[in-house]
Amino acid sequence: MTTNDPLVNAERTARRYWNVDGLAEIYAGCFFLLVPLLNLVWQHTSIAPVWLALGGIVALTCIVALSRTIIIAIRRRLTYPRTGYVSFRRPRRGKEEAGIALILIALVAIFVFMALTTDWLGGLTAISGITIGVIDLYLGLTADLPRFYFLAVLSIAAGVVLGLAEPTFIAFFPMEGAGEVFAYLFGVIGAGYLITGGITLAKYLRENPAPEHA
Amino acid sequence: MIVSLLYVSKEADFVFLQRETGLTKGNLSSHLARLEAAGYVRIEKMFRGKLPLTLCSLTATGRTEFENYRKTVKRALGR
Repeated sequence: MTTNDPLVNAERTARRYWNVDGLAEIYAGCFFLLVPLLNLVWQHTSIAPVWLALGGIVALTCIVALSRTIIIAIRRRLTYPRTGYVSFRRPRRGKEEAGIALILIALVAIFVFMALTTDWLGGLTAISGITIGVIDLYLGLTADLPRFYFLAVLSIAAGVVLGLAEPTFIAFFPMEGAGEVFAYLFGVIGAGYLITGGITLAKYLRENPAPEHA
Repeated sequence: MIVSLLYVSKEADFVFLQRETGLTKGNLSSHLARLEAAGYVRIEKMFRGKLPLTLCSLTATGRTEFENYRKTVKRALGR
């Protein structure tokens, strides 16, 4: 989908190129799947939950902090020799970025409030899924990538269904205890990201063979 | 198109620009040479390992001129 403004098209190209090979989605999928993985580890080991929680926070923080470095390192070998290298400047959007920051702060405040004042885990689950879905929708619109609409629908549906349903009857990955709902939610979302990222990567490698001198 | 892509980039290599503009190597080289001669684009040729790499970026002059061009066009179109 192009517009008459070449600068808007160029910015869309920039955002689209960050997702051209699916690596960012695969990385995000691994990030989301860490939550059910930690839950499974807690279920089947004798590690005290506090250490598992601390370890999980450290691991998740490292994954986020190192994401750009790791993805670019993989791209140096995989993507740049095939379709070229570009380093993008983040455009100054002023009001738009301030608006997004305000929405995110409001959502975090809602989460914290609900966590402190209510046992309604279902509501938190639904809001988590909806939040991630809204972010996916934003990415789909700004980068003009239809697969993010699928991820948005998946995240919102998973959040709402798991928020309303009782997940203990799901026997495929039997889990008990606090956080199981979030484990299922992030497991579904993570699997979705891995699938779309994997399909995108396979398609990208098929359509863009490595240059002969690489 | 070349300048629009470079405007939203810190830097981009020749392969990326060729792919996104759809120009032939010769056409793209010709356009970049003119932009460089006008002082709008900086071109660095280097090697990444054994692979040749041509990196392009907008100069400060190029960035300013592009912004002025956009303002002029918007004014002319009455936006």
